[in-house]
Amino acid sequence: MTLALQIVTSGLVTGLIYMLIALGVTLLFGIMRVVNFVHGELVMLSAFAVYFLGVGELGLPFALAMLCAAAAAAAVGVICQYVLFRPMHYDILNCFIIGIGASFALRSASWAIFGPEPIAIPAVVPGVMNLGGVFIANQRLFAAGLCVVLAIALYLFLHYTRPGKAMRAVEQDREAALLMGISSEQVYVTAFIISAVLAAVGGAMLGSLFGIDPEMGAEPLLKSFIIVQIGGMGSIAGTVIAALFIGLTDSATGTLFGGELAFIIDFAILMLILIVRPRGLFGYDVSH
Amino acid sequence: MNAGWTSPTVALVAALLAGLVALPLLVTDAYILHVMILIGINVMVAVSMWLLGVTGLISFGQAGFMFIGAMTTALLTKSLGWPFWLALPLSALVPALIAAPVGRLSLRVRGVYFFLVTLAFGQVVNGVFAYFQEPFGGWYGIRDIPAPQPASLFTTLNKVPFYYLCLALTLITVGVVYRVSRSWFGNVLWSIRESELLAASVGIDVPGTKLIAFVVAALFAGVAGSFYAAYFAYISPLVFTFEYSVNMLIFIVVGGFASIAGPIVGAVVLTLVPEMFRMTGKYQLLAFGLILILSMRLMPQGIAGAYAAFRARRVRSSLPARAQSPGMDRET
Amino acid sequence: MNVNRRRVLLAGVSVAALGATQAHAQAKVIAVGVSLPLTGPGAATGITTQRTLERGVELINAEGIQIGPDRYTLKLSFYDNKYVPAEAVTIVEKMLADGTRFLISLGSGNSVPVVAKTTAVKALQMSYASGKAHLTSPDFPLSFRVAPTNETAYAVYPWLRATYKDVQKTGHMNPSDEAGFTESEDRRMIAEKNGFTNVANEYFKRGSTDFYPVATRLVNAKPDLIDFGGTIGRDQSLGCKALRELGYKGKIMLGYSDAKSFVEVAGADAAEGTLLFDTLVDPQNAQQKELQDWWLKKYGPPFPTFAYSAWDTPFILAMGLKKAQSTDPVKIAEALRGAKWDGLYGPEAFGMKSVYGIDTSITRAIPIAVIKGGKPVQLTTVPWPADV
Repeated sequence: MTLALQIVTSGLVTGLIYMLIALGVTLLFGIMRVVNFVHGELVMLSAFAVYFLGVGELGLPFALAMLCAAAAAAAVGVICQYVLFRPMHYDILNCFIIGIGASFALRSASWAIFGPEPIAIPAVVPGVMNLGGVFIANQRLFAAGLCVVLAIALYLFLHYTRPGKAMRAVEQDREAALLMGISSEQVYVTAFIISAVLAAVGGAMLGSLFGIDPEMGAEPLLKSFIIVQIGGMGSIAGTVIAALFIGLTDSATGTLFGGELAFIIDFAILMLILIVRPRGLFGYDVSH
Repeated sequence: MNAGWTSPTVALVAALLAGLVALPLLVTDAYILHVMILIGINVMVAVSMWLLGVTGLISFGQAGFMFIGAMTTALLTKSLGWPFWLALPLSALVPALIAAPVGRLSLRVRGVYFFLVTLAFGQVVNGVFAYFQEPFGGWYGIRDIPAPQPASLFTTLNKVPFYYLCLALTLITVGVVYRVSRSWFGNVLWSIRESELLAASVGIDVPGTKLIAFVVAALFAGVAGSFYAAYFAYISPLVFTFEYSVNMLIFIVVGGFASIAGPIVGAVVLTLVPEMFRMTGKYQLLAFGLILILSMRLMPQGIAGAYAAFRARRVRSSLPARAQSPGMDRET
Repeated sequence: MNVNRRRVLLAGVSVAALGATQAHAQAKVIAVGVSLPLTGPGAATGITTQRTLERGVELINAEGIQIGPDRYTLKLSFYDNKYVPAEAVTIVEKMLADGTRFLISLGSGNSVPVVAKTTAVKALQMSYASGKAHLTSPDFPLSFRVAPTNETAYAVYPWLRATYKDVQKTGHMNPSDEAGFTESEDRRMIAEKNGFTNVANEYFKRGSTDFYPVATRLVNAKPDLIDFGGTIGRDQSLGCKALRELGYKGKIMLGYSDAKSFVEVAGADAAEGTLLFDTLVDPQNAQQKELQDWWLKKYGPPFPTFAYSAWDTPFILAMGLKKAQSTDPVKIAEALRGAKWDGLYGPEAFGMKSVYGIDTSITRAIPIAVIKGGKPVQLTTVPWPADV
C-alpha cells in the first residue's frame, strides 16, 4: 500500500512541475498554432540565469534571482517572436523548423559558454517529509505548490482580465476578435511573455530538483507536447489534468516496470488519444 | 507537362549521372566514397518524405520505418542467414505493410496533429526495439550484420561495391518517386495539397490516395534502412531517432519543396556541411542551427526554389509585361 | 612579358627551396585521431580528455620521440562523435582516409563499433571504454583498453568483502545501454564470486531526470549496498538524491565521477558516505600533484578527476613507439601487449589475459574515496589482484 501511495505522490508532484512548462506551450499552441521549439531552451537559459544570479558571485536571494530570470526570459521570448516566428507568418511547419534551428543554436552556444560541468540550484526548502512511509522532498512540494499558484493565476488572468479575455477571443476565432477590435499582434506578444515567464519558473524549479545542463530543456519540451495534446490545445484545465495523468503514468510504469518503458508508454498514449479523440480532453473541435 | 526538361537541364542531369558513375574510378579516397554513400541514404529518405509532402503531409515517422527496414534486414541476414538480396525487397515490404494500418489510423487527424502522431509512432518504434533485447538487440542494437553477397566483393576495406549499390538504390528511388510525382497519380497528390475539398468534389478518393503516398514513402524508407544495416553492419536505437527524422525534414525545407530537386539538393548540401565543419566539434551543431535559421529567413523556398525563381525571373523579364504572372507553386 | 615570367619563376623556385629546407628542420609527425563526445552526453568527460591529452602531447613533443635517426612528434586531431555510433564510424572513416593510423576513443558506444574496422586496417586503437571482449580480445590484437571500467570491480569487490563485513545484499543501477549492460553483467558476476547476494538490478534511460521510479524499485529490494556501475555524470547525483529522499540508508558506490559536481547536484546530505571507486581526490604523489597544479593554473577549479585516468595515454603510446622503434601500429601493438611501466598510479601494465585471452587491458592500483562532510576524501588504494 505504501508503494502505491509513494507512486501516486511522486507522480502527482512531478506532473505538476511539467504542467507549468506545458502551460506555456499550450498558450502559444492554442493562440497561434505555433509549435515553439525554443521553449525548452527558455527553460534551460532561465535555470542558468537563476544559478548565476543566485548562487554565483552575485548571491541574490532566490525570489529576486527568479524575477530577473523571468524578465530576461520574457525578453528572449519576444525577441524570438520578432526574429523567428513573425517573419514566418506563424506558419506551423516553418515555425517548427526555424524553432528547431534556434534550439540547436542556443543549445550549442550554451555548451560553449557554460561548459559541461553539471550544476544545480540549491533547494529553497531543504529536507524530506516522511508521511507514514511515503517520502517527498520538501523542495518538490515547494515546486509543486508554486506551480499550482501560477496555474491558478493564469486561469484568473485568462478569465477575468481584459488582456486575458482578449487572448481567449483570439484563440477561439481570430477574425471575429479582429472585428471586435482586438489586435492579434498585441495578444501574441503578451502570450509570448507569459509563456516565457512560466518557462522561467519551470526552469528554476527543475534546476533545483534535477540539476542544470544545456540539454535540460529537451525532455520537458517533449513531455509538454504530449501533455498539451492529451489535454487539448488552449485548455488550462485540460493541460492540468493531462499533466497529472502523465505524471502518474510515468511514475507507475517507471516504478512497476522499469524506467525505459515509461518513455514508450507516453508516446503510445499520445498516439491513441490523437486517433481516438484528436481534440484532446477539452480542446476545441479541430476538424477544419 | 514537358516544360522543365530543357536541353540544358537534360545535359546537366546526364553529366551528373556520368560523374556519379565514374566517381570511384577517379577518386580512391574511401572517406569521400563514404560521404557519398551517406548522401545517397539521406537522399533516399528525403525524397520519400518529399512524396508525402507533395500530398501536404509531413511525417516524422520516417526514421521509424527506416528502422523497421533496417531491423528486418538485420534479423533476416544475421539470425536467419538469408542473403541480403532476398532481405532487401522484404525490408521494403515490411515497413509498407506496417504503414498501411498505421497510416489508416494516423490519417484520421490533420495538420499539426498528424505531425505529432507520426512523431509518436517513430518514438514507439524506437522504444519497442530498444526495450526488447531479444530479438531486437535493445539499446545494444545489433552488431556484425553480414554484408551483401558475394562477401568477397563487399568487404570492410573496399567501399566501391557499396557505393555502386547505394547509387543504384538511390537512382531507383529517385526515379520511381519522380515518375510517380509526374504521373496522373502525382497530379492527384498535388491537387490534394492545393485543396482537399476541391479534390474530393471531383471524385478523388482523398483518404485512399493519402494512404498510398504514406505507404510508398514507408517503402522507400525501408529500402534506405536496409542498405544502412548492410553497410554500417551496426544498427541501434541511437541511430534512428527523432533528430534523424528532423534532419530529413530539414533537407526538404532547406532544399525546397516545389520539385524533386529540392530534397536532393537539401540532402546533398546538409550532409556535406556538417562534414566540412566536423573539425570544429561543438560548434558544428551551432553552425547547423544558424544555417537553418538563415535559410528559413532568407530562402523560404529552399535552394531549389530560389534557383527556379531566379530562372523564372530571367525568363519572365524577357517576356512582354502582360505575360508575366505571379510566381507559381510548382515547376510545370 | 619575358621579364615578368622569369621573375615569377625565380620566386617559385625560391619558395620551393625554402619549403624543402623547412621539411628537413621539422620533426616527423605521427597523426593521432581522437574520437570523443564534445557535445551531448559525456561531453564533460570528453572535454576533460581533450585538455589532458593536449597537455600530455605538449610535454612529449617538447622532447620528441626518437626512432632511429628521426625525431617524431605527435599531432592530435579531435573529432566530436556526439556519443552517436554512426558518427564514430564516420569519424574513423575520415581518419583512416586521412592516413591516420592511431585512434584514441572515448566511450563504449563509440569504440566498439569501430574496432573491427581499425583492426582490419591495422590501426592502433586505445579506448576508454567498457565493451569487455567486444573491445579487447584475441580477435582485436591492436585494440587496447587504457582505462579500467567494469574491470575495476575485480579489485574493488574483494576489498568490499574484506572491509564491510555487514554488507550482504547488493543492488545495481545502470544506464540502459551498451556500457550499462556490460557493467551490470560483470559487477553482478563479480559480486556473487565474492560472496554477495544480488537483490536488485535496475536500468534507467541515460539522461533521465526523474529517478524516483527506479529508486523506489531499488529501495524496495532492501539492498545493503547499491553499485552505480556505469552510471555517470548527472545521473549519479540524481540517482543518489532520489535514493536518499526515499529513505534509503544503505551504502552507495559509484565511479567515473567528478566528486565535486556529484556533491553539488546531489546535495551534501544525500552524498554523505558515498564510496567512489577509482577516484583520486587528492594527489598522492608528485606526478599527480603536478597535473592538478597545471590544470588549476590553466583552467581554474574544479579539477576533474577523470584527467588522472586520461593522463597516461599519450605517454603509453610514446613508450610503445620507443620500444618498437617503429611507427608501424602492428609492431607497436606487439610491444605494448603485456608491457609494464610506471604510470600516474604507480606500477601499471597491460594485462587481463585470464579474463580476455590477451594482455591488452590496463591493470593498475584502484584508489577509493568517500564523501565526508560534503567533500570527497581519499579512503584507501586497492592494489590490482595478482590473479587477474
